[in-house]
Amino acid sequence: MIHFKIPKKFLGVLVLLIIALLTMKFTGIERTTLTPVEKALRELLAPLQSGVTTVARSLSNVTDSILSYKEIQEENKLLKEKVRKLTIENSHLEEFRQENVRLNLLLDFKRQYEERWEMEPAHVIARDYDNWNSTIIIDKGSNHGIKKDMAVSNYQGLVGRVINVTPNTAEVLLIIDSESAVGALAQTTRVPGVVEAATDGNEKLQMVHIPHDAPLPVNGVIITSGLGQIFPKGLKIGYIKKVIPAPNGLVKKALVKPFVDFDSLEEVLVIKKDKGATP
Amino acid sequence: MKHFFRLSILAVVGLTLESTILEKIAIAGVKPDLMLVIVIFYALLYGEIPAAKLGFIYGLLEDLATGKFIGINTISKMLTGYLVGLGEGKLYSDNLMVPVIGLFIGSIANYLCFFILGIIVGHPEVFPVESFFQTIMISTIYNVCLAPFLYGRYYRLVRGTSKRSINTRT
Repeated sequence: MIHFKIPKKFLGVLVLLIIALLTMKFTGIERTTLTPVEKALRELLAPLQSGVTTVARSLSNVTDSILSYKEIQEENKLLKEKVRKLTIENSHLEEFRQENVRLNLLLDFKRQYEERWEMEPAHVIARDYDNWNSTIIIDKGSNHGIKKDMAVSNYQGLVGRVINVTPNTAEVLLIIDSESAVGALAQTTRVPGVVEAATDGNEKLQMVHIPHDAPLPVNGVIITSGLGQIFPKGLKIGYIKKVIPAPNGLVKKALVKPFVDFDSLEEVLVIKKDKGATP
Repeated sequence: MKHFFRLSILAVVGLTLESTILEKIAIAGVKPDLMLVIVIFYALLYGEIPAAKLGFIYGLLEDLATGKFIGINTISKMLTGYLVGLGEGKLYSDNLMVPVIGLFIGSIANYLCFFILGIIVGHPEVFPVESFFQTIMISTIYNVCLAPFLYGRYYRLVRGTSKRSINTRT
């Protein structure tokens, strides 16, 4: 008879192994409850885990910031370049938008008066060269049918008259120039006068040669009278800001605020021909 | 008593770190097994029986903290501790190559045991064969890489000796 004698040490390990396999088998599947020992261990570890995680997270944030510094710098550079490009693009778009608004207004004006006048649109390409004259240069000239003494307007009102032309340009004397004089009348009271550059006050224009008793309402609109054969009748010039009697008491003058913004003239219409239709 | 206290502290620290910051340095989802590293170091210094006991306790603590397959780490770490502990006395424990080799053999033994037990219990979805070799390779290399940083400190801590160098004598 052969007897197998298993050493106690291995017997113990074998028993342990069997117990372990059994517990593994029963704890491998989803468990609904934990044993008190497991709960206690988790409770013991929880505050430590929480503390370590908090510290690690803070350190991680700091190291992330340090490690990503170069990346952020690169990104910042790219974003700055992008902002620069977009700013330029935005500026161009804004320019187009404003031009579109102005051209639309000019087109409205042209449509409104096309039965009365034949008009040629033009861009302002230059301003006066010195401080003594108020003139502009436009990009249309004799090649486009522009001639001396043609009236120039925009959608706001009267701008001036052509004083000289080249094949592709024309110089326009603005009505605010001291050399300019426009036959005018008050739209409502039909009082005639001459509009010229103002000699005093804050306004750029004044209407002179008005009898002292002629009715001139403040804020009344002044239009061209059509006398003088240069400016067609009915173009808006400005409105009366103030009426000032002359020292001799025989006549008076009115300070006129022009409708046209002469500092930002960009597109104009040259009135080439009066078709003779009534306004 | 002092020795027991130190090992208890190490267990708590190991469990805490494994479940927190070691996740952040995981490579391909695999992180170093700090508890196993401690058991293997212990085995190299104290031999198979004390290491098997420590492996049993550390493994059980890990299983209880995990709450699943209770016993799998217990047996794996116990057997690993025993196996590596067999080398104690035959090698110079203060040589740096000893923990490197110990961690290499111990890690492979531990994960093989872990995997075999998993197969026996019959949950292949938890222990997939496809990723097993990748996991075992990364874990082993990761654990081995810890040797130069941790062995000297561990040596001084558990032996309670003053600072002494770990040389490269074989």
